[in-house]
Amino acid sequence: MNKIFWEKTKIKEKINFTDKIIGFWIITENIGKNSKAGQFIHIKIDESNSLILRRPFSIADVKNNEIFFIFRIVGKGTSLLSRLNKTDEIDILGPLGKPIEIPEEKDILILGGGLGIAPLYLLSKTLLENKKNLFALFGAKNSKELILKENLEKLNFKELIFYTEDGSYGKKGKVTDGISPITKEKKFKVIYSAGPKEMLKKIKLIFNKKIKIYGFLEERMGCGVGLCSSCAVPKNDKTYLHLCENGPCLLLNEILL
Amino acid sequence: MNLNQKIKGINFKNPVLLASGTYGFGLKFKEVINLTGGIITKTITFKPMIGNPPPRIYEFEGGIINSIGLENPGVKYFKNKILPNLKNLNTNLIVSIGGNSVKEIIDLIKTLEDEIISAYEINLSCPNVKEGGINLGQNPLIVEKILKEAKKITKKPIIAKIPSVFCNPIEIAKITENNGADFITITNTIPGLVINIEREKPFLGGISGGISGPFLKYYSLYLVAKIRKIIKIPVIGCGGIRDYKDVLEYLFCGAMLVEIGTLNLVNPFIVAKIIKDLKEWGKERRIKNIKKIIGKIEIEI
Ligand SMILES: Cc1cc2nc3c(=O)[nH]c(=O)nc-3n(C[C@H](O)[C@H](O)[C@H](O)COP(=O)(O)O)c2cc1C
Repeated sequence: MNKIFWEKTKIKEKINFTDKIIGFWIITENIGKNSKAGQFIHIKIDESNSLILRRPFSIADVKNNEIFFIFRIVGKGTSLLSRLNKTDEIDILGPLGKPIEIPEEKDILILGGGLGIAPLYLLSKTLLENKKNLFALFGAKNSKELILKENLEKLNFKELIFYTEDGSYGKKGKVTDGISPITKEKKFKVIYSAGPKEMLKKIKLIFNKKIKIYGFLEERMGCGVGLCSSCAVPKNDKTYLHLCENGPCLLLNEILL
Repeated sequence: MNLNQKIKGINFKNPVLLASGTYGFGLKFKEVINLTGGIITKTITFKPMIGNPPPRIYEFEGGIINSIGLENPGVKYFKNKILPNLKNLNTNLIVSIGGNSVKEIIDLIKTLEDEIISAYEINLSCPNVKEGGINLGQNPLIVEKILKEAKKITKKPIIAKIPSVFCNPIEIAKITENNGADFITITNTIPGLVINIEREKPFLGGISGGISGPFLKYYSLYLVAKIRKIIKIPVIGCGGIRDYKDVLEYLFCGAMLVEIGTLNLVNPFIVAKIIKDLKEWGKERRIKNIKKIIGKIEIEI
């Protein structure tokens, strides 16, 4: 088991992508140094205990002991979290989950929608460090919600295409619209994807079953550290995986979406 | 404050135990487990169980509702693949066992009898197949039978973890004592239901679940205070503990040991802090031994 730390971290920087999408750079002691692509942190948002369980967030980027994560305000927890500011403290457990394994294949397709871009940013950086050829399609509702686009543009992708539903940045349309053109030129044996469940379902339908499709999933979590079996994800054989330990990046071919 | 107690031949270095289902099988965070009085492993059944469909957990202000569905790999896997990895634990290993019938529970004990285990905790809140939604522990006759049969085949201490609703917990507690239970744990989760109004169906994949967490403390504590005056076997308090003060409440009411559940899901390291705080509390008040505070408050209920 990878070592897990419990730390009070400090917010170094707050980034408002939109009024609903927020990113935090936090300073950690040990968590940052030990974090790898594919992992997440588990945040105790409310010390007063009206929200008892922690909330999981994908690690979007790491710089030494600093971690970056991004979230959309969807409920009470994320709303409370969004009110925090620079120098405020955040109670986190991490790094959690299974780091991605570096595939043998050289050419890899990356498909990211909405907030799914966050974990794929660190993942892309890691795969690039491992000398992989990355072909990427990233999309969101509009230019503002297309998070990290400037950062992505600086990475050394073989191909990088953006999509927005309103056409305000890149091509007009959805990431899934771009799959057929890019796979005409090139055949991929491995794909990494993250985004809304509907998008992952569609991706799974488009590709041949022999192609390895990895995807970041979301499921309600309890402990996040493999103690309680709350975050069950059904496998094809009807047994369950636990997202916090086996994921959150899972081989979609093996599971029922 | 000396937190050590020897009860029924078992040495507990402190009164804080890890509740079943909230700390896995003891394979992770061993350094934390070793600080506690013991770990009660996730309930195992004779055959493997895959558990309930998701969602398996729901949160509300005051607690959580879980419907894990007793997911576990079964006793054979537990014995051959898990237990060998627990030999180096430096605290009590208490194995929680459950089943859908008296026979299943007896077969489980037979399978584990030669293993190094401090005690069994029988999870009496398992559904009884013969009686539909009724739990084994809600039927006094079945409780009597389980304990009688179990005592015949094991020399290890038995902890009876009783349900607290849809039965008379006081009557069930007496029956466990009369039939040889060495300890009693009060209590397990209580049943609950959540509806997803948009989908017009139950929220939890397993339909209903068990409510645990802070709100449960008040009911559990009441039961502990009441039951411990009626029975003589040691009581283990369980439900809603968040910090050392909650532990003290249970001890004051007569529990000799406590179990911590939901809180481990929030923070797997927190029990270490609770034990430390407990020691310090005693030191500040110059209380030499934990025995001085157990059952200190007389409660007439
Ligand atoms: C996720 C979860 C799983 C549990 N699984 C079991 C179990 O397998 N066997 C058992 O006897 N109790 C189980 N329990 C009940 C706890 O052991 C404990 O009795 C209950 O949660 C009350 O304590 P708490 O309020 O500190 O959580 C479970 C509780 C939770 C939250």
